[in-house]
Amino acid sequence: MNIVKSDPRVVHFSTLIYRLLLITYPKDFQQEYSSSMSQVFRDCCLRAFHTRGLPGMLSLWSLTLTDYIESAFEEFTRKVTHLNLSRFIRLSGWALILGTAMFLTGVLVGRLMSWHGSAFDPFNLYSRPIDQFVEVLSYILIPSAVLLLTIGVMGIYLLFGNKAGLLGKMGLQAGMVGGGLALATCLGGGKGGLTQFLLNNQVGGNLLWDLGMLGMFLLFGGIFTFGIGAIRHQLRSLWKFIPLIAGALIPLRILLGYLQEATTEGFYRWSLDMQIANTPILIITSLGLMALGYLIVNDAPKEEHIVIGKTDAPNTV
Amino acid sequence: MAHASQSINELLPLTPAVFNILLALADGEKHGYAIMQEVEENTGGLVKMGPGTLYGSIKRMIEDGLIVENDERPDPDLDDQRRRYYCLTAMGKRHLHAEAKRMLDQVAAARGKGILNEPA
Repeated sequence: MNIVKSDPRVVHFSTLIYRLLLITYPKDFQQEYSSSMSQVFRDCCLRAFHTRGLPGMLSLWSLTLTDYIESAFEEFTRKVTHLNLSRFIRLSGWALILGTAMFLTGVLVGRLMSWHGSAFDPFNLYSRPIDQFVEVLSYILIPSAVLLLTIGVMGIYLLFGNKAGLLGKMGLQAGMVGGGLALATCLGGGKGGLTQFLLNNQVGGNLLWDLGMLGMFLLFGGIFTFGIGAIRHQLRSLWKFIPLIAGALIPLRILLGYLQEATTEGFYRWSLDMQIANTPILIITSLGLMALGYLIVNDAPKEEHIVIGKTDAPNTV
Repeated sequence: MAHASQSINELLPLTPAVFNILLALADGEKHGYAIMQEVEENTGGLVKMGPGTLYGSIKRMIEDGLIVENDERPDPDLDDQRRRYYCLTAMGKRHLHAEAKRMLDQVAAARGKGILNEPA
């Protein structure tokens, strides 16, 4: 679809941004419908802008973004799994368990590395050759763990998303977005990225760090929010507090870190007393995540083919 | 159209998006934006479909044989020729009828229990 240059500027840019978003849909869906979708979106923009001005555009964008996340995710999962979501959900439970184990191992290895000094220090005898190997290992472990945890959240979304109410569903959507953001920060950050900071306990203060932390906050906060939604909608079982346990502490830890930094006029995020708190936080969160993974593996619907929103998963969270 | 021979019970109850799209097409072919507007109008603004939901539903409805794309393009003087028009199939009409009847039965059940007599 051609964008008409005489459109108001806000409509013109909105349509451009929307066309960029459409790239993330599966290829065949994109080829078939992206032109029509972009045309319809432009029509909506023109109507919103001419009837309600900028507030109308903001309102349209909020509707469109929710629609985009939901529909892109749905099209993507339909494409990737060919409707065989049952297997995907089961695997996502294992992904959650494995991701948690990798995250713990990655952080542990990072601690080991930080005790012996950085691998980048050529004058440190401890640095070579073991730390170089350890560092490479850690750079693989942490991003892989974040990826697997995000897949785990996708599984929770597919299994329970439609049963945990709007709050629970939005929490899981935020979790997936957060996981993607954290992963992008891990992969894109290199030495300045999230992995480096998590492993070496270095102080941050750059945008990449903040984005990474925002991603982790959303990932775990999303699981916590889903837990609230699950309880509100009475998804009953002995396991009902598990998402709360799995998701509460890391966002709290991140908030406290920023609060401390703001009140102590310095980078205090990874100071000693906070590091002492990190250990129980990691252990409790890991136990929660692993229990959640176990729950998903066991409760994945047995049917060979299921459709999003029509899963017959038991109400067990 | 892999599932064109699906029985009515397999697809019922229809999702709100599918039902509203079928309803919008009940009185003739329409393009995507017109469907969107009509759905909003029919539901008093309660259902606002985004392009993703609209075309995702359209894709699956075509696969299920509920609607088809009309190959004929409108007069270029009257409308944009790039727009794609969709219309109901006979199966789509049957499903719309069956779903509307199912809803009516539920309303009758609610009325039978005096729900509709009480102030909301």
